[in-house]
This record gives sequence, structure tokens and C-alpha cells, in this order.
Amino acid sequence: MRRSPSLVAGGLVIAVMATLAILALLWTPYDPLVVDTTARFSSPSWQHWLGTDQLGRDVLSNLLVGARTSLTAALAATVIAMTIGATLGITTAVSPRWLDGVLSAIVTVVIALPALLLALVLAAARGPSTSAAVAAIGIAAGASVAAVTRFDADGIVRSSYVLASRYSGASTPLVIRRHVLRNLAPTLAVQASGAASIAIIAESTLSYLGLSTPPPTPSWGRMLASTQQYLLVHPLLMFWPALFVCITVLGFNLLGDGLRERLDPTVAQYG
Amino acid sequence: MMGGVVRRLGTGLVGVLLATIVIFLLLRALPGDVATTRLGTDATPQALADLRREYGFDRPLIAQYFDWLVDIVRGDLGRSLLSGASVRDDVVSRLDVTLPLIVASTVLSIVVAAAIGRRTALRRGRTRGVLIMTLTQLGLAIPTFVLAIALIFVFAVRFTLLPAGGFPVAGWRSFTEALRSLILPMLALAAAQTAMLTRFARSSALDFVASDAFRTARAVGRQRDDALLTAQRMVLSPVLTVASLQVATLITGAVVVESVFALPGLGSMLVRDIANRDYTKVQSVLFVVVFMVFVLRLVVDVVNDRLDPRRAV
Repeated sequence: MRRSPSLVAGGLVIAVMATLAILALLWTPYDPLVVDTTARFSSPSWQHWLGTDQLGRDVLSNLLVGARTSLTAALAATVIAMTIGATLGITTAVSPRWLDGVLSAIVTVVIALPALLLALVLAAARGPSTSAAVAAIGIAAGASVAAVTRFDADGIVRSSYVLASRYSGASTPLVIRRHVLRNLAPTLAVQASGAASIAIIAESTLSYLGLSTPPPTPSWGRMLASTQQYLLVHPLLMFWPALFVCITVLGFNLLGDGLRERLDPTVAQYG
Repeated sequence: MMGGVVRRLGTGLVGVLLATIVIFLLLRALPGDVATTRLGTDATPQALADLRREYGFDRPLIAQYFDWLVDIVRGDLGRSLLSGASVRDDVVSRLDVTLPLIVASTVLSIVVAAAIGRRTALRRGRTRGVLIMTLTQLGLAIPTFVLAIALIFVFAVRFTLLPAGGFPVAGWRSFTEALRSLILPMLALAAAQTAMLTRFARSSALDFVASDAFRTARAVGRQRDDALLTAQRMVLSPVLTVASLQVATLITGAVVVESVFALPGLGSMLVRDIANRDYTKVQSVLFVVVFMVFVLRLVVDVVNDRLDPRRAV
């Protein structure tokens, strides 16, 4: 088996981000919330590796705690999405036509509802919260996962080897375990990392719009929103959180690609 | 063929109906009401009750739902509780911005993706592959709002080529200005979509070239280009499927882009109405959004069934 550069790079990026997020639980260079008006907008130095923001808060410390906020939210949303998506997708593929019709209709409706708008409605009514944002992202991503999974599972269920297996007496649960799940594993792994990268983007977008994790907890999205007015004078203040968001998303995407190559050798052949 | 269209139309209608129930219940479950917002917290209970009765909020939920449904079927989206303006007029004027934005982004991304997919099937150079994968990875990794800010920074602030935001008051009557103000938002909105569709197009092109069908076609003497005509369909079909699934995401993206670029579109209107708790208006506007998504999906599905007849079975 060929070594996959995507898998290595993606895995490495996510491992580093996760380490940083865990590190932020125990230690940050400064308290991310401490305001120091004498050191506003200071440039990167030995005291503040990445400088300080408009209130004199240490940028690196905020980025580290932001990593924790983003990764936790993404993990929770991904678990929700994969649970909903895999269950619904496989159920629709093996169930009788009428049930397939009903479930698929529900999935279609959820996909048709823009997730961000739902989060927006919830936030406007109940105030911004991480759990509402995570639930909205998870349900929305779950519906897409369900649609893709149904499509793939359907192909497996209709395949000749499943037909043969059924003729030799295999029950539906056995078919799901032995054929559907095993053949879906690559797609599901790829979709999980896809869902994680969507969740990172969605979480940062929602907190940029002020609809996710409420202050004072630092988050990349709110760092971007609060430093936008200083973009012309202090572009670095926006650069760091933007870079962290992009690298994390890139990491999950590379991980997904790598997994796909690893589990489905025909892909790697033409890389 | 016609049977397939009718079946899809049926599923679509059931979907829209389900969506109306979800939207209705969602908005009724929210705390706070427009009567309080409009009359202020020191309004007398009598005045609040009168206003609620005037709009029928005191009636049973099921009756309110069917009233709304019947109005929608008759094409009446109701009035804004705050301004009293017709919701349909508001929506139509806002679609001037949002519809071109979404349609242009969708078309751009599909065209680019299909073209790259076809080229990949024709020649799969290693360098070319790496280049495409790098670019699409970047396109996927940058959130829409970050790209929007970066585009404004480069094209509107550093090089004052295009407006940083806003939309001409005269709308499409000042055509060039309107067009210029939508270029950056359109690019910001299309980038991630294009990257994603390109990757699907590329991988299905590679799947097809590796398939028995292609090898057989070549083996029985079909010319490469001829066999690739099939590839075009095989590439376009998954691209269209993904594009149709992405319509709601694009509308979400439009909300973000419209707020970064300060455009008077459907998304920014919706955000404002939600903040104002103008729930009956939000309800109708959400319905319009979902309805648009279903219409687009229907069109894509019907086209797709023709491209890949196996799907329609």
C-alpha cells in the first residue's frame, strides 16, 4: 500500500490542533481575558509571541482557547451528524418503499432548510449559545450525510452479491453488518472528516455573526469580528484567527482525502 | 419519463408541505411576540390582546396554520407586522439582489467543475492533478466570510477596482453599477461551491476512466473522444446532484455575503426581521426560501434523470 501524503499531513495538522486545544485547558501564556490598556496593539515580541489585540489581550492565548472552543463544537456537531446521517441513510436504503419515501422526504426538507438561518432564529429568540449552534450544524450536516449514505447504501443493497447473500438466507441485519456497513466504512470515514470541516467553518461563521459561543469565551470567529475594524492598520490581528480556521479545515479535508485513498485503493492510483 | 417527473413533483409537494409544518411550529415555539415588540413593554394588556386578536393570534394553532397555508396557496404572503408592507413586494424587491447572486454562483461553479472534470478525464497529468487539488483544497478551507473580507481588502481597498459593498439605489436600472457591486459577492459565494463541485467532477471522471465501461468502449474500437461523451454525462450527473444538495447552503452563504457586503438582499432582510421578531413575515420568507430550494432541486433532478437513466428507476 502506497503511503498517503494527504493522510499524514491531515493527521498531523489535526493532532497539533488537538494538542494545542488540550494544552489550553492546562496552560496559556497569559490569561486570554486579561485586558492591558498599556499594551494595546503591541507587535509580536518575546513577551507576546503573536502580539496583543485592541484591548491589550494576548493573541496567542486567545487563539489557543479558541482552538478548544472550535474543536469541541466541531467534534460534538460531527458526532450528531454521523449518528443521524448513518442511521437514517442505511435505514432508508433497506426499508420498504413507503418508509423510504417518508424518511427521504424528511431528509429533503431538512436539507432544504438553510441551517444557518435556523441557528439565527434560535439565537435571536434565546440568545446566542454554543449548544444551539452545535445542534443546528449537526442536524443540517446529518441530513446531507444521510442523503449521500442512502445513495451509496442503495447501490450496495441492490448489488448482486447482496442478492446472492439474501438467497443464501442472510437476514437484513446481517446484510447491514456484513455488507452495507463494511462497504460504507470508507465513505462514512470520509464524510465524518467532511462534516468536521463543515462544522469548523459553520461554527466560526456563526460566532463571527455573534450567534454561537457567547462572550467572554474566546473563539476564532469572534476574534475575526472584533478585529475587522482595525484591518487596514493592524492586518495581523485578523490574519492569525483566519489562518487557524483555514488550517484546521484544511487538516480535516486532507484527513478525509487520505482516508479515502487508504480505504479505496483505486483513488490513489490516479492521484 | 413523464412518470418520473410526476413522481418527483409529488415528492417535492409533500416536501414543501412538510416544510410549512416545520417552519410554522418552529416560529410558534419561539418566546416573545410581535405585539409586545410593537407596542412596547408598557402597553396595556387590553391593547396587546386587541392587537393579537386583530392578527388572529388568539385562535387555535391548527386554525392559524391552515389560514396561513390557504393564503400561501392563493399567493398571499401576508403583511409585515411591523411596517404593514406586503411581504410579497418586499420579497420580490429583495430577490433583485439575491437571485442573480445565487444563480450566477451556481452556474459559474457548475461550468468550471464540469470543464475541469472533462479535462481530467482527457488527460490526467500528475502536475495538473496536484495543482487542481491544491487550489480546491484552498477554496474549501477558506470560510466564505473570510474570503469576502479578503476580496474587499484587495479589490476594493488596496486597488479600488470594485465597490466594497452596497447596491445602487436605482437597482438594475443602473445596470453597470449593479453588476459591478455583485461581482465580489458572487466570487466569494461561488469559491467554496466551485472547489467542492470540481472535486466531485474530478473524482467521478477518474472513476469513469478506470471503469470497465470505458475500457470496453475503447476495446471495441470507440474513439477516445466518443467514449468520453459518456464521461461528460457521468461527470455532470454527480456534479448536478451535489449542486442541488448545496442550494440551501448557498442561500446560507448568501446571508453571510449579503451582511459582509451590506447588500439589500433576502438574507439581510431575513436577519433584520428575525431580530425584530416579525415572526409572521419570517415565516413567509422562510417558506419562499424553502420553496425556491425545492423548485431548483426538482429542475436538477429531472435533468439528472435524463442524463443518467439508471437513477430514474
